[in-house]
Amino acid sequence: MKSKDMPKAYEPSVHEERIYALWEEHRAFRAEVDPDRQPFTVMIPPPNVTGVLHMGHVLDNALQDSMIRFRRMQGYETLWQPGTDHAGIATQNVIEKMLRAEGKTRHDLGREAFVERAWTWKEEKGGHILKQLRRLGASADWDRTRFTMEPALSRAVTEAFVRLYEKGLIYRGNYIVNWCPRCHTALSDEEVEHRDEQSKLWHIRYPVKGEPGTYAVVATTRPETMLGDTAVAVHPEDPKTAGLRGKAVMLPFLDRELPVIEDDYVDRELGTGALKVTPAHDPNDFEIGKRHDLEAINILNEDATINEAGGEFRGLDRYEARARIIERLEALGLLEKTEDHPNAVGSCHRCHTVVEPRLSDQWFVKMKPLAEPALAAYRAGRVRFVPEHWGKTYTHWLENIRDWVIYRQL
Amino acid sequence: MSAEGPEACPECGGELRQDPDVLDTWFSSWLWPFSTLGWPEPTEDLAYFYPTQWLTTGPDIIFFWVARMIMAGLEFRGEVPFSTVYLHGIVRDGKGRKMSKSLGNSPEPIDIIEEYGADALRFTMIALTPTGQDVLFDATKTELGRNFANKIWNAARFLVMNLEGYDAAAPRAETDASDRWILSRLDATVTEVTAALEESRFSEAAWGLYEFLWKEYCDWYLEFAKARFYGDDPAARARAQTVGLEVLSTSLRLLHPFFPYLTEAIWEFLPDSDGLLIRASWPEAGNRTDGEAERDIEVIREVIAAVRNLRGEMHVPPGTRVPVLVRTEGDSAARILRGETKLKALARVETLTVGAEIRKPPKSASAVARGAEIYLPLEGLIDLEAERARLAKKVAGVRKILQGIEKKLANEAFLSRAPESVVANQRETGERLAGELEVLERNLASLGEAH
Repeated sequence: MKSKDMPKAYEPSVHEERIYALWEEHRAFRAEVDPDRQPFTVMIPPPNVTGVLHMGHVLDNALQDSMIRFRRMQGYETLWQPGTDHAGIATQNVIEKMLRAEGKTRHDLGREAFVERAWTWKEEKGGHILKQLRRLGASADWDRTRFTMEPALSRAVTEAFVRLYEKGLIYRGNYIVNWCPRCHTALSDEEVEHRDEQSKLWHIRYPVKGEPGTYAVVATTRPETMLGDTAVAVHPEDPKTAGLRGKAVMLPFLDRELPVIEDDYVDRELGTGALKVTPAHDPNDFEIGKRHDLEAINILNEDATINEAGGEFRGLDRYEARARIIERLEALGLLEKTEDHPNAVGSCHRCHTVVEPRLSDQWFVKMKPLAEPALAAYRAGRVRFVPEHWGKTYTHWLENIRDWVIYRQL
Repeated sequence: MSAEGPEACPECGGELRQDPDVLDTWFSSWLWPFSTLGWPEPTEDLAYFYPTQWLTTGPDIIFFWVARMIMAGLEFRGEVPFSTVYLHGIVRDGKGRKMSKSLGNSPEPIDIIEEYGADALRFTMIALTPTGQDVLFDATKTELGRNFANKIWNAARFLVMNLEGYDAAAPRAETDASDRWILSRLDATVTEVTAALEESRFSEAAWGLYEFLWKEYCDWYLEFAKARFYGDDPAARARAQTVGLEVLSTSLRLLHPFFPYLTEAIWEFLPDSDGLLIRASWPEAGNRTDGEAERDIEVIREVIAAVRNLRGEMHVPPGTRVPVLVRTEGDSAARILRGETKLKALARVETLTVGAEIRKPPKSASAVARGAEIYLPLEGLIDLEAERARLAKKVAGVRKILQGIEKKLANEAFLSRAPESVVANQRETGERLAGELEVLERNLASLGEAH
């Protein structure tokens, strides 16, 4: 169009589609192995396959496309690797909504059929966000688009898992998960919604063994969990609870002897200074349990009814059990007091049922052996962050890294 | 355990069932930099494109994703997956709040693209985002990008219209100061923009181009070039065309990462462009730094601006050509004299007198630029009586308002009862008006005594 007649004004809608087509016609986004050129590769942070473009994506992708075009013009063999992520929960949500409209649930379908449905949906509607990125002018090599759930990438997952396992970096262990008793699934922290509620705080007396009339008083918003207590904890330097140190208390109803253990975690300022410890039903208690080698007793079934470990309360729904326990404690003279207590309660973001922390068998990755080389590489300057201060955040996290729970439930 | 999916347990021969539970999705995304290239197969792509060079994402997933990818890269490929990680901030609304559906402060990008164009949105986002910080955005800010896009288009169109008869082989006159200046500035801009992009300083690169193209090339170079475009010296014209075209062509290449569509569209109209801009090579800076030319143009720009200012303040009709006297000497005088033609063209100056002995003529307005005093005699240019009356009236009006403000600010009751913002507002207005009054009184004095 070497015409001298440039239109008076620039109208984007006249040019954008036409020019994008021209670029693709000329395979300008294509990257090929070329030994005569240096490569410059950028990996796209794969957006969710169900995703819709929002302003954050605009910034993220405008930056990438600017960098890629700059390098391409500098003569590098530039690859901007595009793709999408199945991101478990989000896709699952969309499919489940579809199934609900058909009057089915994923359990009706079974796992294989569910996965097939997810694929069909993905082929038809998935990746819409990639089309939107094209409108932005993104010069990614679309012929190479990848999807995290495609066979080759699933194979990579299996390969990685097996290699880590064979090196002894993967192990099974107990872990407290957020359990939805209605969906029958574990939820990640992001899938739990928190609401502030007006709950109650019950103060319960545990008789001290061998000292009739003496009690340790513990406070809880979930009295039914007392059935799973395996210890009472106090702070080693708290004068308030000095009288309990080295002793044991008797758990009402189940007559189980609970040792009084000493742990820094206990907040001296809070209440009586005595903490009931339920390793199977509270993440902090689980940690205390690990430190002191305590038994973790699970008292809930998958539907949050009390199981056989709950003695006379077995079979009851958790809230029924709670009410019954309060009644019985009162009758026994073991309820010291009840007070109002504002509390953040977690519920399943899908069905809004209150979640239960629950001990579960999970796959873990040992992270320390992986973190050390990652720290060394940063310190040696093999990877750098812009702005630089993020290096501190990176370092701090790696130096304090915890093992990675890699289990999910479909 | 093997990755093939054994049917039978290698230990006891019992039937194996695939664990129905699916792994954390981060366990697939931490492999992304090499699984996408074929790992665990030893593909050519993997050998060539991995490790990668640059990654950008938000810092909220520096642990979940970035750190884990680094660990995976080292564990499974023996090397970090990328050498640079650029962490950008988040996009907030104009008031600094997070964008959310419920707040209704999250515009649809496609809507913005349809209204302003994709390039305008991209440029605006990048320009308004300082490295690693959050950006405050609402749809109307996209006007920044659109206005710049239109400016570039108009400048290109102006140049293209004046490329009539352009012939790269035609004889060209010597360069004049404005040519050497703009080429010096062009080379500096190429160097700065390239360095900024090498270091992921996107916003700086964007603003560098904005300043150069708009404030230097459009506002000044093209204005200076008009004399040669419209003149009757073909060699001079050819020189202006050559330089004008080189600067535009190089600028389009520098702009392409920020305005891909716009620049590709303009590229189609340039006589010397070959193939698509997306494939053109990135500019290399020449060695044309010219301090002398830069200083010449800086000086003449300031003098032109000063004269234009005086003309505006004193209401000299735009078409009227004016005499200008400048009291200065030495280097300054020499530079101003060298720029005489430019001054006359751009500030509509009829005569220019420069010297150390010059005195301020009666009934003239004055300004200072670069240590030189500039006088604009007004006799015969404007109706002095009318202007004097107008200015006197304005002075009286401003004085009255100022008195009112001063009275308020001296009033204890007002100071103690009025909200802080109201008091601050009064003070600011007072300061501003005091400054305006000074200028008005000075201008009034320049007009001399009333008859």
